[in-house]
Amino acid sequence: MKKSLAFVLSLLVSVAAIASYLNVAMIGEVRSLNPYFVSSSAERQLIGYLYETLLTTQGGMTVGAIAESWEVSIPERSMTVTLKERAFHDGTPLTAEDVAFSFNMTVEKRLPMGPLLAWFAGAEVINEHTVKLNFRVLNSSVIDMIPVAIPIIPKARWKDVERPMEFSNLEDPVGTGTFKFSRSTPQTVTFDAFDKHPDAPEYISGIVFHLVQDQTMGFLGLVRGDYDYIAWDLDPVLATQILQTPSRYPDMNVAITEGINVTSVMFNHRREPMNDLNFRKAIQYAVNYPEIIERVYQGYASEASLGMIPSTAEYVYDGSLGAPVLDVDLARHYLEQSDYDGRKLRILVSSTKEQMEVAEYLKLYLGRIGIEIEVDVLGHEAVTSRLQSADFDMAITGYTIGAQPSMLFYHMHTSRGEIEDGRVAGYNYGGISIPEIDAVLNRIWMSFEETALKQAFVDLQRMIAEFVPAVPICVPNRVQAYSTKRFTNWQISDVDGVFTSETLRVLQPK
Amino acid sequence: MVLTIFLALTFSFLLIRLLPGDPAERYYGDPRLPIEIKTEIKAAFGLDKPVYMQYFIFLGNAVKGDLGISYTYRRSVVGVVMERMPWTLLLTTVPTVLSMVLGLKIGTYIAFNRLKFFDRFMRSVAFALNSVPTFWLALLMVMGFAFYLPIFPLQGMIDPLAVTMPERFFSVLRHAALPWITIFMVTLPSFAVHVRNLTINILGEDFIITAKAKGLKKAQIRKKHVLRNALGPLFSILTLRVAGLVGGSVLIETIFSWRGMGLLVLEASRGSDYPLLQATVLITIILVIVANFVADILQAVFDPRVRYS
Repeated sequence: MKKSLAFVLSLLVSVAAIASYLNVAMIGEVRSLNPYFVSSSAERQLIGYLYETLLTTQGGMTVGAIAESWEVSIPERSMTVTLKERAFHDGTPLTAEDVAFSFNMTVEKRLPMGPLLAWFAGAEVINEHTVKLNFRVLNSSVIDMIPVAIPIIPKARWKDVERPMEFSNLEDPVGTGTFKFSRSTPQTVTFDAFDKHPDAPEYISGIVFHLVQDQTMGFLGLVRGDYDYIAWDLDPVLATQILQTPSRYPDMNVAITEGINVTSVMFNHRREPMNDLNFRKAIQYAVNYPEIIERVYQGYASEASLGMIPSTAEYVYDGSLGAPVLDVDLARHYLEQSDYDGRKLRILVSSTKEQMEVAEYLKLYLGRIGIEIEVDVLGHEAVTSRLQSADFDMAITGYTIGAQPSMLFYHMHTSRGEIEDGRVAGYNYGGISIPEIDAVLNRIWMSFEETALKQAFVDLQRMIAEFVPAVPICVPNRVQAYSTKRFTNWQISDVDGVFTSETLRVLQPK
Repeated sequence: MVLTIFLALTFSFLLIRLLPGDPAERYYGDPRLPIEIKTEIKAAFGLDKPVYMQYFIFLGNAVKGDLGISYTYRRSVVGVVMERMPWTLLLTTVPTVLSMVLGLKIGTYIAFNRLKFFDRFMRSVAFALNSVPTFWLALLMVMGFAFYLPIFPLQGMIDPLAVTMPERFFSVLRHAALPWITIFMVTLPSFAVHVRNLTINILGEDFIITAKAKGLKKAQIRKKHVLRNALGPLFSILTLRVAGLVGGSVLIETIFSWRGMGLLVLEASRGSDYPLLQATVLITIILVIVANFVADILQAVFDPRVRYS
């Protein structure tokens, strides 16, 4: 009798445990959980829950993650960081020794971490909770980037890893994040909530990430109740269907929030007439922005700012500049003033539905003012390859600057558009080279104080509005679908969307 | 066989080098990286060497069974392939073997009853199913038996919460059922019609007329003379199917999120993961060569004419 009762009780307990795991569908593969080498967005998201960094970004500003406080010394080219109390998933406490090891390994093992190796000199332990980072070069981008990029790993587990470049870390990854690794199957990865973390979920046991290959199948899984959330933006047509016929989708909800990606027309400034401001302004005035938002994005996009930076970067966003507007007469006027000789230009687009449609509308609008363009549709890899070799006239692209507006330095500074060995050295594929914009970007680069940094960003947005290095078309919204069938208390943030650390913290099983 | 494998190695090396995209760039993925680090990474993977040198290094390592480290998985490509191969074999062999066994039965039956109702019906079904793209059929199956009638799981290979061996075994069976049925639906009718056509040809042979003249029963003729002679060509068809095991399963694996070889090939080519792509191509070629070899042996076992020639 006792045995039977115990069995029933254990069954009930296990059912309860199963019920409190959140099921999330993700597109892509998790080939490795090595936080130094992320090769897919699925891996990036998972690693974000397992590992923490010293700093992180929020609303366009850098804030502390593991760092309690920090102080930058310009003459010493260093940054002294005091750490919060944290523990690793295996129970050992996080110390300055671990932080210094995490940073120094990147230099000692020559890990490919962006520009870090060129800028970072080394980390030293000051005391158990304080670490000093020394740099070869110090600018605000260094602070924005390096402490935000380097994952903090336990020294005890990594010190014997001879070749970190060949370490998949799939067996037992240990970090300090809000979730700890539990188990994996070929198409799922399960994380348990890490109770010792101050932001750990209060009610859910963990998350099961389901790796799916096809968005339609993922959506069906959400409707069927297999998943509670799908980790990609929903197709606008499906979102409209869910919102217009809620009775067909009784437990489903759609959260529409501001996007971080600015869909824009990128120009190759190395070629004529794209290097002519009048030509770029002609294009800016020729586009019917509300029509694109309505027809291509079904209304799920916001007007872009003339200053490019979207409102999600709330600390530096300048809303007073307004959005670009359609004015065909003005477009024709600027075109007459330009060097455009009537030749056919080509616009490069990636083979996504939205980009192809935007390109077709552009072709229509530009045709109205007398600019003939041909649309080149290529796969994502091929588009990147053409951009990197600067082999294009114009391109439709998305500038992901809503979370980290300082990335504009890499997209627009002259130095980042130089060509080395036939390839563009940085992300400035269009070779934008406008001295006024360079000057403000240099100021941002050297602004460590909040007010000065904000002012520099305001000035940058004005310069972008004036010199039109690219034409911002719109900011597609984030359209996230989730189910309330098994969990309630989803939190929606205008800036971060619905699947946030706050949602995970307070989400409750029904 | 050695020459064929050598040629396969060479072709897999050369073809992959013709794909667009710089694999080293794929590895470091960030154009902000200082040039000296890019050079170091290229050197670490031997990509700084001339192509002919890379080829000889590749050949030397391949002989030792070392096909390199995957750029994206950060571990031995052989290990990655060996993890995926059983899943694809599980996905494809079960319905293929089943449809072969049943196809033999049905095929010979309709050949003996040719132009009757069941013969016409089977041929129509085979024609219809061969006209439907496999991914479309798979989607219909999913919509019908996993979504509207939720009998089977929508996708995946195993329940994440299945811990014990029996739990895992039955979970895999449950997940594999719908893809198996889909593949079975495509392969069975075409296999049966193939056997039918073969049988009809055999039925016109002199030795069958002799057998009938000797007064053998229909069942004896079918078993001793028809089946035995049909098996040889059927093994050849089966060999051709082995070649399609990887390529042909891409769509099914995508729809059912079945992490097998098909998806691995797709992933490797999307990610410019040269070593992984080379390994998948090579292992597929070797699989076909081995299957051909086995088919030749089996053909010789069942058909004395092949043995004596």
